[in-house]
Amino acid sequence: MVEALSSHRSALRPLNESVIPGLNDPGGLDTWVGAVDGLDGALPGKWADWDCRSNRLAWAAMACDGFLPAVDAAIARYGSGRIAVVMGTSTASIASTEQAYQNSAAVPGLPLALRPSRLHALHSLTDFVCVALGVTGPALTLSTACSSSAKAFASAERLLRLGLVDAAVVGGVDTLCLHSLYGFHALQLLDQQPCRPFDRRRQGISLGEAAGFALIERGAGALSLLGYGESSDAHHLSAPRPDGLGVRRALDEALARSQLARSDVDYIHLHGTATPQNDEVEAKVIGEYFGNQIPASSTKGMTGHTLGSAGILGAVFSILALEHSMMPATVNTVELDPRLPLRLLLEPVKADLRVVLCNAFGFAGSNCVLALGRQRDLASV
Amino acid sequence: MSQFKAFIEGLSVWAPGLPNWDDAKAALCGDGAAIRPAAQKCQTGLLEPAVRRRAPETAILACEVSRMAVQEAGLEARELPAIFTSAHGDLALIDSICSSLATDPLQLSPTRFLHSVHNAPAGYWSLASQSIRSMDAITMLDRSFAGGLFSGLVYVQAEQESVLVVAYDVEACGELRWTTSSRGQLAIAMVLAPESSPLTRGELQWSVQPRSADVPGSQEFGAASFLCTNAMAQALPFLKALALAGEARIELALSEHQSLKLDYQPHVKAPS
Repeated sequence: MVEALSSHRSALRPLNESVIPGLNDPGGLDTWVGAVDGLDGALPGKWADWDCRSNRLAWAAMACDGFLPAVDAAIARYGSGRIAVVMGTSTASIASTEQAYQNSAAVPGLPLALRPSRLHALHSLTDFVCVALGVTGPALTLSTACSSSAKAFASAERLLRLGLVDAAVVGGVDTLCLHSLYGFHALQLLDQQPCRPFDRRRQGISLGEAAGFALIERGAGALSLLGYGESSDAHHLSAPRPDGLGVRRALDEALARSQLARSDVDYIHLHGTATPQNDEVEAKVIGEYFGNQIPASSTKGMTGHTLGSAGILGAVFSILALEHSMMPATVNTVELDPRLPLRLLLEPVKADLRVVLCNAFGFAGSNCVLALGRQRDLASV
Repeated sequence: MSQFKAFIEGLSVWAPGLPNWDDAKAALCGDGAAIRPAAQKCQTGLLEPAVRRRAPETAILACEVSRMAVQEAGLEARELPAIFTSAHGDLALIDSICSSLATDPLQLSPTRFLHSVHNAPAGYWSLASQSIRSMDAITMLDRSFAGGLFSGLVYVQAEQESVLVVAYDVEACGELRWTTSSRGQLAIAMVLAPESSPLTRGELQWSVQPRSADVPGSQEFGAASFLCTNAMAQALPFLKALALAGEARIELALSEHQSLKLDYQPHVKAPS
């Protein structure tokens, strides 16, 4: 990911050129997606009952970047019951249910590939993560659409603050599935070109899939969750609130919890889905709130919009920016919409960063802003 | 493990034949075989008729119990954060969407898709109440009641402010009846507060503990026993304890390994 950030790369490809195991032929859609390669292999045999694309992706993510040893060390230090798991997702293993319906439609009258299975429930992802990690503390699934795995940080922080657990696995997973592809198509929110956040010619989103995990603990550390803000728009199920009242509330709360001023923020990782509406409202609210002073970008041109895992993905990009002193570019975007008051980065920019904000806004007007930083502590990432 | 405390203000239930807490309480404490009432359409005065016609069943249930709980608590709905919990969400919608996707996916209704999102009921409540506070929407499958109550108790303790907790599950229909055993409709809401007030129904001291080796045998739920087949049935021992309005110890499993352990004490002036 670090290499991709500095080389300004996009992973989006046309859907009809993407072979996505576990997804039966989504025809009739003209769109680009951020599909993950290499998920053909089933989960290890002991986990056969858990096998589905979302759990394969979850496992692939858990197995990289030294995450498993870090969790093992936390289990050794605190005990498995003292570690929470809070996972964000919008669809989890619904593709398994979709496939069963497709099989049933193909052979009517047969009582189904559908049978009681833990895969036919939204909580399946979190259950699997607990099994795969050997963690036995409080484990819940947060499903507030595209803010899910950002809000997961907030929920976990409260558990840590109360001393109910000593560490928390926070993350999100969403995979490409028919619900998302045809759902966003039906809402007319998909771009036929690779998405271009905040571009004057933006047309909509490109869907993506991703899994991300963070292990957080109390105390001082190099990288910290400084604070967060959560709010609702109370406006509409899918359109953002034009006056940005909910987003401003989330920003206020994030800064208050972090004990920061607006001028302390060095960079903003925007939600930036590339829909005409989201980008317009987000840009105006951010522009007014920060006086158009703070460099910002969206990474959805690199990965696509990964829905329930957009929050953790944004948090990871934000943390990489802090670690590597580099602000990501808004890939695919050629010309910033001149009506939008944003200091939008179109190229990666080197900068010494201390405080980064990360936005995640979901359907039903769910807003979450995370404040991440170096060398301060609310919780240590 | 440390024990924390929260105060219950406002408690509501909706189920077929039991459209409010008083009816539910009478059924829980009452004798007699449980006869399952036919499924009913929940009406809620909270949503305008035009909105209500289009709203998914789960949203209507969630709004109705939320309305009743907040009213009893004497609070402004617009000032309350909330936690919504459900094992399965709107099963009728999921069945309908999966069927559409299997036969004619390009005709999928955008409204149905939006309504199937797990936090759609929270969105409807937020719209109706005009609350811009945080709304969580969680699931822990058949432990979703424990999970929602736990999340609410954590929120109250951590933030020292009141929160609305809303739990609901509905009947599996279509092909999902093969996979999902939830039957009937059940919705519950309560307001949890950090301090007591004249409106406090009772207090909960709570902690997270290793699960007890022997979970108490099936309790009697009187004429409300038909609710045992709903995916939110984990709520029933909790509701029974509150219905009896005496001191009670309640254990709600959070997982195979841990439970939410509750000591309930009614307050003397609690409304009945």
